[in-house]
Amino acid sequence: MRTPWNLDDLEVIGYANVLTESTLPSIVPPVFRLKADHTRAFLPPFSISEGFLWNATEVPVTELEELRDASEITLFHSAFPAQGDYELWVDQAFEYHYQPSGDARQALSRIAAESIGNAEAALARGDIEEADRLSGVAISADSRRVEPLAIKAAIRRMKKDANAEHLMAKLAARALDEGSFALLVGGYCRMTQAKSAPVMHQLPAQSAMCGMAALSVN
Amino acid sequence: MNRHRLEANLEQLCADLVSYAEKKRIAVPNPVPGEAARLSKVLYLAHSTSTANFLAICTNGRVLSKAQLAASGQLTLRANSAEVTLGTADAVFFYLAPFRYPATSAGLLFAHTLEEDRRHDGVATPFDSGGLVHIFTRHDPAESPRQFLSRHQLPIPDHRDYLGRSLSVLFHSPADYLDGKEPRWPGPIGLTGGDQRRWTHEVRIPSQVWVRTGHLQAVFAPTALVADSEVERLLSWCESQGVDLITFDTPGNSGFETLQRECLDYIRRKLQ
Repeated sequence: MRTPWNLDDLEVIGYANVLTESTLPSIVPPVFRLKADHTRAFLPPFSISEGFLWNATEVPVTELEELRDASEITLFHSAFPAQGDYELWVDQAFEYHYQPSGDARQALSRIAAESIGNAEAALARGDIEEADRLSGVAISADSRRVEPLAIKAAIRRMKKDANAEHLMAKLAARALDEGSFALLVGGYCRMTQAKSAPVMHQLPAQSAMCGMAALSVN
Repeated sequence: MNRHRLEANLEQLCADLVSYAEKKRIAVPNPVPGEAARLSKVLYLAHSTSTANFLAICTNGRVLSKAQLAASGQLTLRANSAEVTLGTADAVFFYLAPFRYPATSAGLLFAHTLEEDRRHDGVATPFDSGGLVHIFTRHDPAESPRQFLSRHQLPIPDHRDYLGRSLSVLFHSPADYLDGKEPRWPGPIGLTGGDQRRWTHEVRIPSQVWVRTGHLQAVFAPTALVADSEVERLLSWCESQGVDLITFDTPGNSGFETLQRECLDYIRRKLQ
C-alpha cells in the first residue's frame, strides 16, 4: 500500500479530466499536490477517507504538464486547500465548485430535476432540439435518472432512429425494466404528438407522465 | 525500424529471458502452458482517455496520434514531452492490458486482430515507453532512453510470444499480469520504479486507428457521456454492430477506478 497523505498537507490544483460543453455539469476527481513541495502531484485512482488520501498515483510535475497538454487533465490557475468529504464539480459555465459532498450532490440533483422539467416543457411545446439538449444536461448532472433517457428515446423514435432508441432503452435497463421504460417513452411521445395534432387533448399524455414520474430511480 | 531488426530484438529478448531464468533457477516451461499461451494470444488492445479526447475520437471516427492532433491544432506537443524525446509522437498507443493510463474516463478495446492488420507498420515494447523518460530507472544511465527503446522494440503480433513466455516464467500466475500485480521475478529488461506499466506491453500504431471496424471489441463510457451526440452515434453504431458496450455510473470522483474495474471484469469474463 502506498503512503497515505493527510489532506491538510495537500491542495487542489485541477481535475483529472477535460470536459466539453455537452458533458456539463459533472463531478470531477481532483488533482492534488503537496503544499510543501509543488513538484509532487497525485492523480486518481485514489480514495479519501478520514482526512487522508489513499493509494493515489504520484506523478512528477513534468508529467502533469504533459497530461494537460494532451488534454487529459485540467489545471487551475491557482490552488486551494484540500478538504475531507468535499466534491469538486464543474457547472454548465465551466465554473468549478468545491463543496461538501452533500451540498454538491444536492446542487447537481437540483440541476437534473430542473432540466428534466424544462425538457418536458420544451417537448410539450414542440421544441425538440431544446428538449434533447436539456435532457443531456440532466443526464450529465445525474446519470441515474431515467427520464432524460426516455425523452431522448422518444425524440429518436420520432426521428425514426431505431438504433439510438434501442440504445436509450439499454442504458435505462440497469434501473428500469423494459416495459416500464417503454411506457415512459410512450408518454413522452404522446406529449409531442399532442403538440403536433391539436385535436388531441394534452391531458392524457400528462396523466401518463404523472404515473411514470415515480419510476425514476436512485 | 525494419522488421528484421524488430525480429532480432525479439529473439534477443527471448534468449535473455532464458538466461535470466537459468541464473535464478526458474523453470522455463516448453511449450508455454495453456493459460499463459491463450491469454497472450488473445489479449485486447486498450486505449483510454479523457472525456474531451474521447469525444474527439467519436467525432473523428478514429484515434489520432499526438502528432496528428498537434498538426490539426487539437493539442500542444511540447519539445520536451516523452513522445518527442523518444520519437513516438506519431503513434497511437495501446496497452495489452486493462486500461492503465492514469486518470482517464472512457476507453476502447480492440481485438488482437488489429495487430495482424498492422504488422507491417506497428511495433510493441514490453513496457510503457513513456515511462523511460520520467518514471522508470534504467541500469545504464549512459544509454539514452531512445537507444534503450530501440533495443526493445518488437514486431507485432510476435511480441505476444515473449508475453506468453514471461507470463509463465516471471509471474506467479498469468492472471497477476491482468490484475496489475508485481511479477514474482522482475525479468531481464532491467527497469525499476514506476507502477505496473513497467511490465505492461505497449503497442504503437502509426498515425491513426479507425474505430468503426471489425477490430473494435468493446467501448467503455460513463452513461452520462451519451448526452453528447457524437458519443451517442458511436454507441448506437456499437449496438447495431454487436460491439460490446459497457456503460457505468461514476459516483463521486471514482471515474477512473470504475473504468478500470469494468474493463478488468470484462476481460476476465471474456478471456479467463
